[in-house]
Amino acid sequence: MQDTKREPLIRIRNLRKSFGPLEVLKGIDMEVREGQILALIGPSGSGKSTLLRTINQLEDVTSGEIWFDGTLVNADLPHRAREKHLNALRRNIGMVFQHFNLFPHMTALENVTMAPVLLGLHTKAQARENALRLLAKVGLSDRADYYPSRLSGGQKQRVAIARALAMEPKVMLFDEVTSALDPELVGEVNRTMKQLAEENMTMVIVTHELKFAADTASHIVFMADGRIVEEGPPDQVLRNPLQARTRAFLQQDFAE
Amino acid sequence: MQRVWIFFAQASLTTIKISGLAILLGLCLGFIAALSSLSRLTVVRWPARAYVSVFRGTPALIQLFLLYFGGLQLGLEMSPIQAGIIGLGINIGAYMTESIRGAIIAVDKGQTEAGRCLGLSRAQTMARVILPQAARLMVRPLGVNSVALIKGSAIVSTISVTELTYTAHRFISSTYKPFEMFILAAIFYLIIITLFMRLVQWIDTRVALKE
Repeated sequence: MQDTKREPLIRIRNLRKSFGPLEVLKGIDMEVREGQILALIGPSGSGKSTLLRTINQLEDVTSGEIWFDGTLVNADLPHRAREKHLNALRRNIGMVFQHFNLFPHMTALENVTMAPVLLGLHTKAQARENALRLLAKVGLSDRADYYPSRLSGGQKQRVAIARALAMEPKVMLFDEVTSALDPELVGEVNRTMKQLAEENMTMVIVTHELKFAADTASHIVFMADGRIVEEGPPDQVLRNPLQARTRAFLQQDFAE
Repeated sequence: MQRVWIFFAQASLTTIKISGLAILLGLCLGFIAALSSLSRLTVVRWPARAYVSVFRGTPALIQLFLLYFGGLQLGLEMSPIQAGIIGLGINIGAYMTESIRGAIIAVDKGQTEAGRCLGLSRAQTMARVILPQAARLMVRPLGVNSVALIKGSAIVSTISVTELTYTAHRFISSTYKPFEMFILAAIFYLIIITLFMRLVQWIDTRVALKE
């Protein structure tokens, strides 16, 4: 399925990140290939969300390199140039958040059409057509004109996914997107993500749901204490982990 | 006594005019200073913070005298009404800066992140995502600032602008009825402020989140 000869879409090299005296990423090397569904798992505080957020520079880094599609993301540029550089990069990197972050003053449809129109990707009519198609895809055709306050958590998250997809990104980042949802709403969001995975969208997913990771991901990365402890296909990492630290984490989780 | 009403009504129009223009000036200054105070650049941030500190930290009356009498001394000639509008406007602008800044800061940080992640610039995120949400948070504090300004506009009577308080004083010296005259002035202030609060409430419902 993967073309191993091509450059990985994302390549992270010896990445370090400190918040003051606290080092949260202690030298991360990671690759994401096109079409790969990479799940980042690990205990709370292991640095997995921080790592995800460095990819689109919501978090800057202390040292190391992040390459995206052949471009150095954390290039050392003067402020203005860096802003331009990041704006251009971020159009190609979709992100979905734990707390949805939908724009509450816009309808579901407006949430999806705003950025493509503002950034000149589509005309208003094109953007609307595209947004309606995306809302249909996430199963929310009938909610296009609703404001977020009238949507359930699961519906909000699906609108947020449609909003990110509207920019036609090359990769989608998911930051614990089901953690804030009522248990009965998790399934609908997971189904939407699975559907994306089947369409070969490149995805990096930070999640606490090991079962979902096992079903959906093509590659699992297990992190603890700011380091990658173990990575590989789900069958290996989740069923026959090599590292004691991974086994301890998995046992604890299944025991819950 | 009948004719006094007419003079007070006319004086109210002056109070409304001065206050209205001062509020507009204050809003302009407030927006500029609030956005500046949130800038990344110290050279932009610092003057905005200094403006707020100085004009909130000194009496409005002193500011007005400095502008009108001090201005005259320095060759800056203004009519009392002009000095009143400018003096009150600059003063209330400092308070409005804080109301606007507070509303912008109160918008969830995740909103900025969501905007920036879609590729929007800082300015685009501010204009399309943050300010529309901050607007509904700033209406009431700005309303409170404005009410304070309307009442505070009484100080321009000291530079002989014929607004409500000045008119009350004028009629007291001819009728020797301070009680009636101040009550009358108070009633007119109350009417102006009641009507103004209605306006604020109307604006508040206009910018409220739709469902």
